[in-house]
Amino acid sequence: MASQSVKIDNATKIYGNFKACDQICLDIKEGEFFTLLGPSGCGKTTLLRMIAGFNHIDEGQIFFNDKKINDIPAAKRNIGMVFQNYAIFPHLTVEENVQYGLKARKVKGEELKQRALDAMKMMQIDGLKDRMPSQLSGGQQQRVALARAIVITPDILLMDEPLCNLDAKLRVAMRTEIRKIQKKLNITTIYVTHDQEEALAISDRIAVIHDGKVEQVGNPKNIYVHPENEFVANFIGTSNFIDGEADNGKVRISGGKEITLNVDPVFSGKVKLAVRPEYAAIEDAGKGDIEGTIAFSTFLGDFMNYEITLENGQTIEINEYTENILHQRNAGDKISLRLMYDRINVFDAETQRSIMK
Amino acid sequence: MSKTSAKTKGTSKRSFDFWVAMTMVIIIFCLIFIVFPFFKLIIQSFQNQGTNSFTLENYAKFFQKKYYREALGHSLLISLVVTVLATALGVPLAYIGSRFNLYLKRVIYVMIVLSMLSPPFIGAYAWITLLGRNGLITGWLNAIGISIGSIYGFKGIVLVFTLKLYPMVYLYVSGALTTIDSSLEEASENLGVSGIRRVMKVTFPVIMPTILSAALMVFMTALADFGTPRLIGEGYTTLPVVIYKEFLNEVGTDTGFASALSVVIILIALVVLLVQKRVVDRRSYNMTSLRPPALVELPVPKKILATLAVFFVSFLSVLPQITVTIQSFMKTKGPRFVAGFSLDSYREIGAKLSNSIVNTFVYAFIALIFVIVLSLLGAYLIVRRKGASSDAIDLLLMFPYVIPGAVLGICLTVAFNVKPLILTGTMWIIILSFVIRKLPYTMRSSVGILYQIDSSVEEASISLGVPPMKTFVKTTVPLMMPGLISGAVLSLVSMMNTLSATLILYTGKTITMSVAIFNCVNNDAFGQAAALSTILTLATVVCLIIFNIITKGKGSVV
Repeated sequence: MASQSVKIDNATKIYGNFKACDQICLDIKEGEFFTLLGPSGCGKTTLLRMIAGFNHIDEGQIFFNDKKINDIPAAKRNIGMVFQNYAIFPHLTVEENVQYGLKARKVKGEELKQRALDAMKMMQIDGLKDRMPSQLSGGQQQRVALARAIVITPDILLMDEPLCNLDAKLRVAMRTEIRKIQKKLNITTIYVTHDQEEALAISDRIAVIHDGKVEQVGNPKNIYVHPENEFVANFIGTSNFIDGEADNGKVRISGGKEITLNVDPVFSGKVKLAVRPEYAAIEDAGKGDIEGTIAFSTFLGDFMNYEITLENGQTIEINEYTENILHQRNAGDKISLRLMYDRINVFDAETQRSIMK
Repeated sequence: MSKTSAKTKGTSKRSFDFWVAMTMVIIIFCLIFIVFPFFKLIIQSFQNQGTNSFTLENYAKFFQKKYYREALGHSLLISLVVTVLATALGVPLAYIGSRFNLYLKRVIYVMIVLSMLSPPFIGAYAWITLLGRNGLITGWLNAIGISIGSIYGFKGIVLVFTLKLYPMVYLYVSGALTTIDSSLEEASENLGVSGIRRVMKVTFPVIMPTILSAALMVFMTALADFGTPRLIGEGYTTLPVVIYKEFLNEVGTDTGFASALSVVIILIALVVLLVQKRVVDRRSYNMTSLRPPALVELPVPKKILATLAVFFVSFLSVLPQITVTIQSFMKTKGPRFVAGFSLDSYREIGAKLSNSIVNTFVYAFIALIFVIVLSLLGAYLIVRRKGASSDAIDLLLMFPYVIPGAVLGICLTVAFNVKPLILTGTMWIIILSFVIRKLPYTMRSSVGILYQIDSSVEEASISLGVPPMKTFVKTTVPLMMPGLISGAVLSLVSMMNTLSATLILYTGKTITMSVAIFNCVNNDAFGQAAALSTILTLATVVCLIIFNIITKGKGSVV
């Protein structure tokens, strides 16, 4: 059976005076890998639990395909869910864990065994089927949790920070595997994480959530390259914000040159230029767009990280790839920065929204 | 807020109905069997015995007559002295026992646990048979011309209570000492504070909340116990003894006055509990025990010395049980034991008192089932369904904690000796007293167990298609069971050993072992008392073995 689409229409969750989710609207296509990304406390897990049925939907509606699910109890939503701490049943073996949801669906005998085995094979844990959860490593528990969630052929797969308890290397390996399995099963997946790198790596589309509201929805590249507002620019990757003033399509950098960027020519007023650390080159003093002084330098293997105090008093971070370094810069050196104009985003300093064309 | 919760009902209708029903059932249970008897007690305490009119004379009588004021003074003094002594004895011994590798560790542990679980009055009567007027040791000492003076009265009560109650402190404090994060102590040594100063400045202050809870348990037990002062106190009367006498007075029961005395003792217990809670709350620390401290291997002479110290005290506290066990096989002549061994004492109880053995097991098992079911449901409501009604349940179920056994007996009698619900004289009233007595403890431990179980395990089950009610049965209950059962075995032991409430509630048909032992002692039938006590001890040992098997030796009995 084909997977289902999810439509979230003005979903709101209220705790006392606090809106954990504030009129969230999202359209998630069937088979899509969709990530809810945001800092902790932003409401992403609250929204996921509303979809799962563990949080009541105080206002608004959620649809699977065309079916409104607000009043369907969690047990009847046919959702596969992977929990942050895996939530493996500690009193059941691996096989019994995987069979749990099938038994609840009255699957019996050979079919029960076979379907559980297929799921365990897919997650490469068929060799562990008689083990108790306490005998499993974190990564293995993660696989059991995933096998248990997909074996019931759910309409939707929900994942709540499933990788955050794994070590860095395993996390990267696992996210690739999750992605492959998701594509293979073509199952609509909603994934919650606070790790922007993970979100960029794994998702078809991302919704950046902040203070209970959706800041931006888009594919990873779009979000990274064209953030719609200052929050997204800051949260996805790293951005330096340099003060400036825009008028008639030109931007004057505070304490630096006036440059031409692809901004809305109608806009006039104070702006912020979002410059990612790798989107500016360090040149000798006087040759770039704005002057500064190296305050501190750190060698990080692939690249050098410089902390630079600008002429206007602001401090920013710039990375320079080790292989591109012509001169080693030292603390106290006067330098100049040349910005990569086509990769800079400009935001209205007041509304914090993008004024790019 | 009310709007939100009203809507929540819609989301999971089936589970909502079940848990609301359960909340109602438990609240009604509490209202009928805890609140109502207690209110009846209060009302009685303000009633004139004959006319049932409102009066303050019961309380006036208490404060006017020196005899009663003295009993109150005695109770407070004894409880205080015993608390200080038991703590002063238990804490250092626990430190030695838990930090140093001693000889005979298992034996010491078993002796301590065994002495803690037996009824205190058996200690009283065993010490009488050793050090009393006709006592064994008294006789030896008299023969060589030494007089040890009287063991009866204040001294005797304090001796019995201290030896009986320091094990509680020992076990609680050992538990805390073995789970403390050793890096705290290492940090102290690193900063130049070591040895005994480190123990006083870091170790004991950190485990102070545990020491205080143990001390509270000691105080409450000493305050509430009736059997010990009754047997060994003689002229030195305490409040529970007075209450018991007034309530079961042969000349005529003064229920009103007994009720007033009961209210007084409950108030004292309540005040002590609240004061202790205030002190503990201000000092409780959250610790993550990363690395528990290692056992220190002492040089042999010191090791022998340390072992001797702990062994001696724990041997003293288990001496009553050893004494009665030996006595149970001795020939008797009236109240005295004479030379030679026989099974006569066992034969005698076989004829007259065997129903008390059956009763004890039957009542305790039935009560245990109720306790387990109520604890499971109650803990779930308190932990997972937080709200006003679950708070109320939490509070109601903790209330029996401050009610002494004798008072509970009186409460239940005055509440259930009239229509519509007459329970007095039946086994159900004794079972009820067992349930009410043990429920707070089992409930506490169930709540603790459930807090350890992440609710996402239940949510995982629900999202896999198992409705909430079935999830509770299939997932939550099996996960709670191991911890609950091991606690329940201990509850079983303490129900079998309980005396105070049963002594007020029993009839000839519903007599239990501890009551039978008490009656035997009162009638100077020491041989039969010894035989019954031995059987009770044996049952306790069997339960402990079962407990050990269930917990694989890792369980703590406190």
